[in-house]
Amino acid sequence: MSSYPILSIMIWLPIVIGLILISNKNISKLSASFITLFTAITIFIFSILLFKLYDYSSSELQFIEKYEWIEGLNIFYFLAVDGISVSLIILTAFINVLIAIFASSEDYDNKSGYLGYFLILEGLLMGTFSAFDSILFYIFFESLLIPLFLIIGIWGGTNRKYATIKFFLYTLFGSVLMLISILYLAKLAGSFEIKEFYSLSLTFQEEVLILLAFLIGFGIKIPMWPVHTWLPDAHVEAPTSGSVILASVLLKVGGYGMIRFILPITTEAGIYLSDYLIYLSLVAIVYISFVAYAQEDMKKLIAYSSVAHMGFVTLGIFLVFNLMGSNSSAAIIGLEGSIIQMISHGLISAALFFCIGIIYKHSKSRLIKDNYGVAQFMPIFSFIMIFFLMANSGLPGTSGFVGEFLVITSALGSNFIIALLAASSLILSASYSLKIGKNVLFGQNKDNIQSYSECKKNEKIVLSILIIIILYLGITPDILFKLIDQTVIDIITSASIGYI
Amino acid sequence: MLDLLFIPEIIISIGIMFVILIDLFLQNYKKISYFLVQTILIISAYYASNMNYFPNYDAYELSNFSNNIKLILIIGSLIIFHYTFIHLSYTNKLKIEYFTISLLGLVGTMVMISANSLLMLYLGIELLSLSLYALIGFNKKSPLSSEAAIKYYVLGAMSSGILLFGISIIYGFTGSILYSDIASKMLLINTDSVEYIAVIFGIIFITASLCFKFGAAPFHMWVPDIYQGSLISTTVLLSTLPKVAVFVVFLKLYFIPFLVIKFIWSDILIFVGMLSIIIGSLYALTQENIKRLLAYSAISNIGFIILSIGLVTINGLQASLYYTVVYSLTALASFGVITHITTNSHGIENIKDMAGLSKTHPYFAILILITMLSSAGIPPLIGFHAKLIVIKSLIDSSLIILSMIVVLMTVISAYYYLRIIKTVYFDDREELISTLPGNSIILSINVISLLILGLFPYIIYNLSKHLASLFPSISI
Repeated sequence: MSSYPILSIMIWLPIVIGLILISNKNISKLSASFITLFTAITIFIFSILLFKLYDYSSSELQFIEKYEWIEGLNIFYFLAVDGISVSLIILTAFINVLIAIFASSEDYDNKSGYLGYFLILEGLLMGTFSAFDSILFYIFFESLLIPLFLIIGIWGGTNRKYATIKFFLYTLFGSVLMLISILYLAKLAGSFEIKEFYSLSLTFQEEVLILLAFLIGFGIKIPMWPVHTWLPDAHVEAPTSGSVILASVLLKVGGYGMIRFILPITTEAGIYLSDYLIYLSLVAIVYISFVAYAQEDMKKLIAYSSVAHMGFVTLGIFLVFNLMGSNSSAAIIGLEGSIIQMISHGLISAALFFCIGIIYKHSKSRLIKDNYGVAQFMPIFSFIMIFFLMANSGLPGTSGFVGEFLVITSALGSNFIIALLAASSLILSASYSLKIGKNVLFGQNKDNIQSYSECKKNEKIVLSILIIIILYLGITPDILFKLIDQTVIDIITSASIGYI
Repeated sequence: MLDLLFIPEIIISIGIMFVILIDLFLQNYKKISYFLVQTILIISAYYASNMNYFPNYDAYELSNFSNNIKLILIIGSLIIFHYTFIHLSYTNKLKIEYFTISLLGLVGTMVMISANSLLMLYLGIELLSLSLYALIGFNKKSPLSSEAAIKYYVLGAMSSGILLFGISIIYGFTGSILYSDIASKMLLINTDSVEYIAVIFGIIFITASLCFKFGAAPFHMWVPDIYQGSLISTTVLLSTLPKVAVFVVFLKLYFIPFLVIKFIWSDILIFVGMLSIIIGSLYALTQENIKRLLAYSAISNIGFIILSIGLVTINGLQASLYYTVVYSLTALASFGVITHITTNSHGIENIKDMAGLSKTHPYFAILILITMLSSAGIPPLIGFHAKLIVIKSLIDSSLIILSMIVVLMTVISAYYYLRIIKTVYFDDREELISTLPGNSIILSINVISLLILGLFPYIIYNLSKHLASLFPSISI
């Protein structure tokens, strides 16, 4: 099973093809789209293969590839997957296929370069989700900045220079502090393997500092309130596919990192600080929802809604600290909820950014007031978009409901007030989602001059695949549970063993 | 005994005379003289790598360690001369004297590396400095160039004076100028005596002078002006060869004669290193001139090197070697790219001259992207590994706060590297940019090695480990 380096292929194949696309300007737009689509589908098939071969009755690492990379420093090229990695890898591969389909009808200068950066980004994301050596993880984690920086900077909107530099410096700042913690942990453990860090016995003070460093690093990436301000800027300026990959996969890297590093390594400090961490998440859920409602720009609105939804992810993670000793089944539910929320938000936010991209292509404006009454011209599209807006507000039957419901259930096990505030999101997110629906789709088109026309075939394909998946995961989320169940239990037990 | 004729210093010195002679007769065929220069370098590289007879002299070290460093310097010079040649011939400033003077400077650096006595060190430094004064003032028509030459000359002479003062104090109180003798005398000095304090003063004088030559803060004032005033090809040379040589002098001085009182100088070096990193990173933020920007970037890189020497650990020693190799490679690449870009048949001066380069010259834009990201320390490029290994050795020495300051400064410095990338990729073109005619294979290899070595960082790691194992050090 592990004789084929399937993970390495999934990392390096898109990177190599991406580099070829970037360095060769003579590739025509059509063949660039075709090559990208073909690569993305190949990787997706690999990820399905990974999913099929993954043995989810075990919490052991699987598909291990481990070679010494830098001899004297004890740094390994160590790839492996567990349940959480597999679910996020499939999400990444899936979203990239959709982007490849969607982008095939878009027109950009130097399109082969544009698509090439996306492929590189895909490979790096695969690496981030499968690296189990902390330095390797860090390298993939930070390399992610480069392609996204260029995608937004070269193909972005008018204010792109400001947005890209802000985005880059923000995330770089977060990650360098993390690097120091990794090096410090490695000094104590004598190894850079992430799993070795779990069994370290740190003093309380060390744990608190390390937790804060990781929290800043991953919190900026997620992003958590109050370090979220780079996200709306980056989203607004990014081209459609850039927004999609940013919202649906790149934000998940932060959540993934929290589960991988903060939960098992700094458990004691986490339990001590859990109240504050939960407050931060609740601020993200409640306050940012209000901020989202006030936005005039659709992309900004969805960007803030992303921050609010990622608040559920962090809430689910930090509730584990609160519940671990007393009510471990609620802790498991919370963590599973937050992972499912990550997957589901990855799909829904991708769908919404695709929709906004389609509207923007017609009206050349992202402002709500410039887009009224789209439903008159694009009835099918409007139906689809209303579905996604409903899913965004957590309608039962869609995948958006499952994660939020689980996190709220888990919060009930801790404290009624937390659960109440978290649950208020169901109303708040409905209000801002419906604001778009009411105005943009069903508003009165006063001047009737907008030239909307029904979306193209490839766009329809993308959106209908997303509808199917969102419904499927909403109705039968078992498939995800099975995948992550053992891993989640394993993480929580290893965290609580470290604590006791 | 005849073998000694074939040490690189002698080959190059004899070669210089040949080149001068031949250039006299072949004024119109500069290419021939240039190829002769490169041939001399290749021959000396061959002998440097194949030398296996090492006589034991007191004042002059011939060893595997010094030969390896010389080899690095020679390879560096080969690349620098290549950039210089194509740049100078494009801008019609080509004179073969430029190369002969540079070769003299190269001999100076080799003497510095091999010196095992303080006077020999002084000789090497002076030979190097004299060549640099001439090279900096080479662009006679530019007032900035003359100003830079005078400035460097005055300040350099003063720093040489300080160095001599330090040497004489050390000599006066230990009775020797040989490194090994000083080391054994140092052991005998009583820590309560006057000699002890005097020796410390001597070391501080020497350190100050060497830091000046290194371009480390707070002795960095000359660096931006001199970088800006000189020709870009001189800047390439200034930012690599002397730095490597002074670095090796640092290693040899501090780890052989002065090792006994390491607790005195290690704090000084850590302070100088941190200050250089901070000043280099902060002052670069507002620079518009690309040479000044790279000058400040050099200051902060030098800070990393001095900082890791100041740790006085095996890890620190290795980290400093690693960083020096990577720094030289990156400096060569970044200045190399800039020598290749021209506007209106002049070299570029300001960052904004490069605006919109990605639209007209996408390949060069990628080269700039790689070098700048590597300088900023973004993985997977080699610059990241260099910074990683320095920060790791800081943390291994439990200097957590310092490591935090260092990484914050890397974030700040990332901004100005990003600004260059922003100009190249996101801004619109204002002036006509062109690149030098002819191929850019060497430049491409130089730049792409930053990426390849970043993916296989153990290559330089093993190299630095090898060098560290050859280093004739007493146990730290």
